[in-house]
Amino acid sequence: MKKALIILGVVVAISIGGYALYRSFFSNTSYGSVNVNIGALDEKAVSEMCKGASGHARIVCLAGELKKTLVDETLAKLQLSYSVADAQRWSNFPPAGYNNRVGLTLDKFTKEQLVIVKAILKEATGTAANEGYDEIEQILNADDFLKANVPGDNAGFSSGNFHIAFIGTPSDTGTWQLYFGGHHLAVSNTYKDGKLIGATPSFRGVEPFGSFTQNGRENNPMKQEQETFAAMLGALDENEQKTAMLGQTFTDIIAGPQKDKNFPSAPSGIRVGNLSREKQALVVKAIETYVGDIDDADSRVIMEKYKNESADTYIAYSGTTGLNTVNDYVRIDGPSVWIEISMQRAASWNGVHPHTVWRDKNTDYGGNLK
Amino acid sequence: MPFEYFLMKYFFSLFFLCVLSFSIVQAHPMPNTDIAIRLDESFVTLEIRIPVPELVLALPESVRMRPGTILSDSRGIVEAYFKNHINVLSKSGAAQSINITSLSVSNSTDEFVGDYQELLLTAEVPVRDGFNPRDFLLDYDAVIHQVPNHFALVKITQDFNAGVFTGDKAVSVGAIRYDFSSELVPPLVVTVTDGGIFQGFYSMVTLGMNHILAGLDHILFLLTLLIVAPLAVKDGAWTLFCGFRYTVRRFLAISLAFTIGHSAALIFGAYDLLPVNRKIIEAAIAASILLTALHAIRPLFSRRETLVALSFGIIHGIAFSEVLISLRLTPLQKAISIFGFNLGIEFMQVIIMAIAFPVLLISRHKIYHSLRVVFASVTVIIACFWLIERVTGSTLLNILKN
Repeated sequence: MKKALIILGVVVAISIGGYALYRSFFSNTSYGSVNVNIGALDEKAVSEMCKGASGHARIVCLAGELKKTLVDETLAKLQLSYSVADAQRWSNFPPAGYNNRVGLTLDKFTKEQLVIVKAILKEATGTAANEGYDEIEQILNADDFLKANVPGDNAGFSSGNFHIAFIGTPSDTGTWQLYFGGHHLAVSNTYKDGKLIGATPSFRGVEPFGSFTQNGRENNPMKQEQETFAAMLGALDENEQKTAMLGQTFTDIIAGPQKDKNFPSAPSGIRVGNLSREKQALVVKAIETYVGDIDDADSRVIMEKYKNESADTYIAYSGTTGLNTVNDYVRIDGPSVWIEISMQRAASWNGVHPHTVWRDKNTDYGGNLK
Repeated sequence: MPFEYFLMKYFFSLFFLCVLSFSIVQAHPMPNTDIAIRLDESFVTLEIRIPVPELVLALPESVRMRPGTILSDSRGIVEAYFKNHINVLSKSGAAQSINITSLSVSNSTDEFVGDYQELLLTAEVPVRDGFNPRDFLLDYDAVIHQVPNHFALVKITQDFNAGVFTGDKAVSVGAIRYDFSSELVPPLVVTVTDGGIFQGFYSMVTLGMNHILAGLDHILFLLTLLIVAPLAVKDGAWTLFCGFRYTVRRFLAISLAFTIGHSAALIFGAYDLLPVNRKIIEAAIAASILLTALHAIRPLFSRRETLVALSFGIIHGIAFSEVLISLRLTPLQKAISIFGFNLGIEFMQVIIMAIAFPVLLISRHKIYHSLRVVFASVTVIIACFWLIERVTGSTLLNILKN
């Protein structure tokens, strides 16, 4: 009997240990946790690649170089045929909240391949500090920060879990879309016959919000969006604020993922054309913090259009004008442009964090959404 | 050898199945409103779950400031608010009367939002002439009228005539959302197909079968109980195989006692004649498995096995009846359900026993001793896990973590 009890005890101990081990193993393997630290990749390796080409031509060339290095299986995930339905598969959620993204995750690439991915992103996005590529790098760093600092996380944070896809074949002829996205990020650049015909839906968000150190640098990717939009609202006088104020409360953006064409039939808020020149300039500046996320040449073209339409553009908000409190919300609603910022309760860190989207009512997904 | 090989494989898959069953995590998007509809002959019942942080945004400032006391201080305001924002209309547009039958706040948790409070509201719509509970309009805009990014997911969670009885068989009806082009919250058309009473019966049989198949605890209990059927007690320990007829006799006696026990308990339980405390019953089942497994290692109640099987049958039967008791059924539906559900349970049990019986014949060989002890030990461990989890109401990993 004694012997039996000892054996039983040993079996119980081993099982409990095994169970705990199994559980920790199980929870860690649900999603990857690779930190690709894209900022630290040395770009010298690609400086000779596709030399002489710039803009779309360089993107196509780099995409070709990247594809050359892949085997059939991974290539099939990266290179899809053009389909708006696949282009719609983006989200603000980490993988645990949305696992239907298309493309290859960054943790599937070697360092040599990642440098090419980085070069593609740089070519397709803006060069200003905290905008374009720099903003993307910091949003990726934020995920690595969460992975390192949120105990017991199983949401799938990590820069290695961000996706890249070529929806349609990168080429000087025909239609294709560069998709890059993950938690709090969606880049959707649609090109046709070598020209950018759509830069949206473009989602940006970040948690933690505020300055944080990760991957060897200071990060605060959305500070200037917050400041520029708060300045735009703060410049309104009391009466203008009253007109711009929405009666409803927004705990999130309304034109988020899988909410395409979810725009009000008539704009709310205050008409920008009714504001003073200085205040109009602040609206343009606010729009620029989003349009500036794409490459500088295309960004200038789009800004020109939005400026021309700015008189008939409306701005509206809900909550406070500081964009620093839970449920603060601001919207720019023009004939083409649509930008929303929603400050919401922190999900994994302290304070508030922004969910924001830039859409274009006519050229979302290159205007191919029926 | 093939038998032993099969057994070992079987034990291992069984063990991993148990472990796996601990690890199933329910994914939940950002907290929206959930509306569960239960349909029966006399009522349409709405069970509405709303995250309090979103709800208070639609309530007056005075309530918003103190979300923690939403029901103790402002119950009247909250009830009046819902009366204004929940409407049920017949297809011809006639508004139905709605009774709010319960209102409570509980703690909920979400992977992305963390812990938050949730309001649970139950409302009943009596079925009257001219109102078809299988085809109506749900005109609901609570929270959504004020927080237009909020939405409500609507599901049918119980409907006898469509064979829907449990949450995981729920039928999605659709979502109630703010429509930005009309700036309205359009009513949702709730249309449910009527499968009739046979659909109900058929689904009950399947439910009974799945209940056994999914409820690993019942299978494990049954196998542990039967593993000693071919054996006798000698000097306080189990012997080896005691003859084919002996085995069959004991096998049938134990199975029959268990069946009688749980069938009787199911009938009484389903008519609400037995006291049911879910937590105690679940823990008692774990305890019954633990005892039976210990018994399989060393005889504890060898003379009273049939009696023990009968009483454990009653405990398991009460657990079975819980599935039925939560459904509000007409007497005919209930009778059909008990019959169908029990038929499903029996059918599955017979299949498991038929598979298990040949395995018992290994007891001719000496290896059966070690097989029996290993199987019973694994069962002891699993039963301990269950017992701890069910008594504490927390998963084992959380317990170990703390």
